[in-house]
Amino acid sequence: MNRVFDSPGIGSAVTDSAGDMRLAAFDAGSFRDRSARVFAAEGKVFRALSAEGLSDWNRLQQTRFFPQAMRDGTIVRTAMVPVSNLPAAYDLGAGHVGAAVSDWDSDQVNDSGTGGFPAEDSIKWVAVLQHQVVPVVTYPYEWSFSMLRDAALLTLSLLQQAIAEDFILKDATPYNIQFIGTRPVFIDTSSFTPISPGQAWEGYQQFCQQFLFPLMLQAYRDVDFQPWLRGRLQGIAPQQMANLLSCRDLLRSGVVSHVWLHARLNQSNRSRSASSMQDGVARSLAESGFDKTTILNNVTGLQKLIAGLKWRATQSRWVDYDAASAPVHNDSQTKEKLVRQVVEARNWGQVWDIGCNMGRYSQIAAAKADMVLALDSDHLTIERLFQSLSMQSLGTKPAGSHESDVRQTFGNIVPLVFNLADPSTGLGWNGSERKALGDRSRPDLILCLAVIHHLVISENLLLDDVLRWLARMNSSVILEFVDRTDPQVQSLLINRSDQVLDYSRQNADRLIARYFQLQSSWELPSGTRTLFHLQPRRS
Amino acid sequence: MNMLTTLAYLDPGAGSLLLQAIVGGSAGLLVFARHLWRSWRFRPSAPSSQQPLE
Repeated sequence: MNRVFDSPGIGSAVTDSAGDMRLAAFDAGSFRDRSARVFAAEGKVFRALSAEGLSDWNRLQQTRFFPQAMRDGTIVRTAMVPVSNLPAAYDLGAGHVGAAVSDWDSDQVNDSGTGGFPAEDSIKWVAVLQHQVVPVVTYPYEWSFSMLRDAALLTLSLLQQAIAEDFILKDATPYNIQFIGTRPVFIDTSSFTPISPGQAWEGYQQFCQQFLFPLMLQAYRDVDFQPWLRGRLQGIAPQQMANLLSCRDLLRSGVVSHVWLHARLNQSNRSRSASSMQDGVARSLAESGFDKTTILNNVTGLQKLIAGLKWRATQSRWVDYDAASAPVHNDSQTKEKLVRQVVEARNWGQVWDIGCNMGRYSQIAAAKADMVLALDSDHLTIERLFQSLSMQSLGTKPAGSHESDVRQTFGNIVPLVFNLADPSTGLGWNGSERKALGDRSRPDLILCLAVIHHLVISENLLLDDVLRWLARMNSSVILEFVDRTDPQVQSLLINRSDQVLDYSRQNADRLIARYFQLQSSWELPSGTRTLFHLQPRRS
Repeated sequence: MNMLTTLAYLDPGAGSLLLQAIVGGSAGLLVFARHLWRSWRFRPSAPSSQQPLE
């Protein structure tokens, strides 16, 4: 089966080997909420609802906050679609015997385990929602500090509005948020559910583990949170977080309550090890008068705490890279003109700017692309770029929630912390709950400017492998090759006993001829750098 | 199983539930105090060493 990459966003449609039958499977990351599951087909994103999910959805429609948030664009645009309007022939069982969509609302789905869904998978789907497609799904371990903070504040703001109308969020994970340009958008509409009297916020621990603690780690300890979220998808546990902080950090805002006490309470309740402890605590709190005012007080406190968290890093190797390097400076005007010339020749779907630095070339590409992923391995660089793009959008008055208005206001550049030499692969359950970037986005154009020498020399990759990888992406490429005589390359090689001899202009020319069709090349004014416009070889 | 637990599809953590009362302002602290009182009042009694062996 071949994946169809023209259906970006959540999930993916698949075609069979003959390509004549469009099938859909539930998104591999959509299984934790059994009342609603996401699938995609023909470039559209749907959510199947059980009777419980449908009941929640119908009640949600009666609230004021939910339709308003959809109009404002803070919740993804969603509408119920008639099942008969859906593409036919679905396999919704993800490997099990499935049922045609047209059968969902009938009694033909056998939930006894004899011919329909297996008994343990006997959810009966009764309705389908269609969501606005998010251009590219991104994950919190690819975001910068401000992106995670904006996502946290949006989650709290929506929770606050929901509680006021007797709804609550079942969970509180950053995977419920996606970025369209610099705007965070809440995508998990089935996370809203009516609140029961005396109910506590079950997502609070998850909020701490996946939002608050990573933000605290960055703000209080200047430790990048991305490897922690990537290494453990559930986030940082309270006890781990308590161990990561020093005694001095106890004086910092929120640490005593949300970290230290949190860890102690979880520890002491675990040590009692009563099997019904959790049920007992929830019931005891409800019977002791716990109500939504208590949750609102907590949410307000978290909003103040998170809005006050600042990451004060000022220096990284890459932040002033453009300004500090003489060849970079000398070449910049010519390079900009040439990149503009290639980019403006046509319209592009998605563009990847690998090693984007402050996003100068991302901005050029953005004018002619549906969207640009500005990728850089340096967290502070991406943080500065996101802040700069957010400032630009602040200066633009939001015109509305229509896609063109959103693009005009929030731009179409999504900055991501991404290291090509150490990319995130499929993670989570079955290795497919979270996907590799290449499975979520297919670029039409890749900008690979002044980055290849870092990949080959600093990251110790083979020049052959890097160029072959670029060719396999099957995109147009603008590649800047930096010669061994360039001062930047010289400084990278100065302390190396291995002089990385495969990194040479001669070898690059040979490999480019092998893997690409050369469209144009230009020598830049520095005399040590060359710009190539390449097309993949058609096999 | 009561309504409170059927809604949760993730583990809220017993300690995390309690903490919400503590960080939930004065009303929350009152709830927490009531919870402590209930826990103490309805605590399971320790097995007595005086009970005859069967």
